[in-house]
Amino acid sequence: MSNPAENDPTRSKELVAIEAEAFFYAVFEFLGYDFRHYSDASRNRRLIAFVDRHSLGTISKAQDRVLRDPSLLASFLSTMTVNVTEMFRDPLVFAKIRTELLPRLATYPRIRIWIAGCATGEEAYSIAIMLDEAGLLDRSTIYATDIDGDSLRAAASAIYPADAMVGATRNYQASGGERPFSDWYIAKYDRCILSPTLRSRLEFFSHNLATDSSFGEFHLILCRNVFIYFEETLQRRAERMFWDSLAPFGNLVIGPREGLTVEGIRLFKPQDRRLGIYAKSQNQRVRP
Amino acid sequence: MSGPDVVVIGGSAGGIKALRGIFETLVDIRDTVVFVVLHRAPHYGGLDRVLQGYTAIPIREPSTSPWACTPGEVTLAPAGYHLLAGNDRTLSKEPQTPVGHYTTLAGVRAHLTLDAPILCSRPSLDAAFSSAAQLVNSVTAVLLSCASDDGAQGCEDVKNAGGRVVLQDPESCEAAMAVNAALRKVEPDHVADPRGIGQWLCRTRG
Repeated sequence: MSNPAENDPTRSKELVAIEAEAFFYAVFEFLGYDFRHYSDASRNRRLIAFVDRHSLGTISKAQDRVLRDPSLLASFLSTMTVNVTEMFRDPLVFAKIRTELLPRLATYPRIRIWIAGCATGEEAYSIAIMLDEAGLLDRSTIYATDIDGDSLRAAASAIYPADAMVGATRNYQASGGERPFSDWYIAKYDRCILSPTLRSRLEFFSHNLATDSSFGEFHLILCRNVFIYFEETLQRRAERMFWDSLAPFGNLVIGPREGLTVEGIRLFKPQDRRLGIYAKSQNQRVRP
Repeated sequence: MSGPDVVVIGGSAGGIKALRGIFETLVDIRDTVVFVVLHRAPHYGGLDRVLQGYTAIPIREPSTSPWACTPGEVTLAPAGYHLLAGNDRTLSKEPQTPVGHYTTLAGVRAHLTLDAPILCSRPSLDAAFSSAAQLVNSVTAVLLSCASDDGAQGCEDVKNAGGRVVLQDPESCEAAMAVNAALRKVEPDHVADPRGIGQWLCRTRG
């Protein structure tokens, strides 16, 4: 039987779009992971990468396999959420956190920080390093969350490729770090393990911004390079959750290539819009 | 549903110079959505201002994602992110089915991602070309001087999806690796030096 979509590019694109919508609907209904309100270009590209990696042929065939084979789920979630980043990415943001946000955090007896969408943990450890340098780490807890178990396990191991430390060192210095960066890790063969002091104040666990709710009150929330993947309706949900989860005067930090929704602009006031640093709006009328 | 025409221009070593040549003859893009993707170091900012020195056409780097592209403007992939092209979508107030919450529209958006670098590059030309190939719009990929194979696969994807492929004449390339790789994969719709590419884009637009 000939494939009607094969020789007609327009029909073929239409088919992929329909298969992808059906796939994510089924995954949500049956497995509970909700990618329905992720933006389509990056989401579908990752889905097709997953289909190719496992030689599944088509998205429709992948749907059958993912729904019935739990061992494929982990690989699927990893592909859907992978962010390849580095410690102290966007050094100017970390410089600002160091000079403007840490002094305020220092006024709290216990400091609670949430890194939402922590991927493989680079950002969580970067924050831990700055807290330690400011003498705040022993009274801080950093809650780092992601939906991907493989990423969380990698993050919790505190082990990174040795060559990642080159970029990390350059970024650390550009962020105003003054110690030898090698103080923070031990290298062996082609791997590095970060200092256990940093690891001891970090909690890594699963949390889904699309389906889970707030789990406490925080003085600082970082959610960088996550909204770039969201449609507005999902970003609004996350913004409301962050507002609910922030202590008075708490800060939200998003990526430098991200903005807030119209509703989010009422919930948070910019402290440095270019760097993505916002503060919780105290106006009670904005309560979502 | 066809929407604005889309042109995606990609290059690396020698790409900025080639782009300057294109802008000498492509002085007006009318209602076309133009993407420019150039390899550079992840922390290299300020390319938008450099390119703006070559043309009166507004050059914009997305400051958010998804980013709605304005026809008549050039959307530049920021350093350190992949740029993907996608179509506008709106959330249906009353979905017809439980599955399709969104309606696809012919407007064009840019999406930034932190997926792993492809062929050591982020932004990747392949990622930009291949995503553009999926648009409902009429798409042209323009591959300029580039010292890796990046862009060749994307050209093939654009061609397979019914789009057009324009290659910089290898003779005029500082680095012809990508263009030569593309020539092994596709029959280009046009091959020219940068000024010639600009003229061809003017002549063939809708």
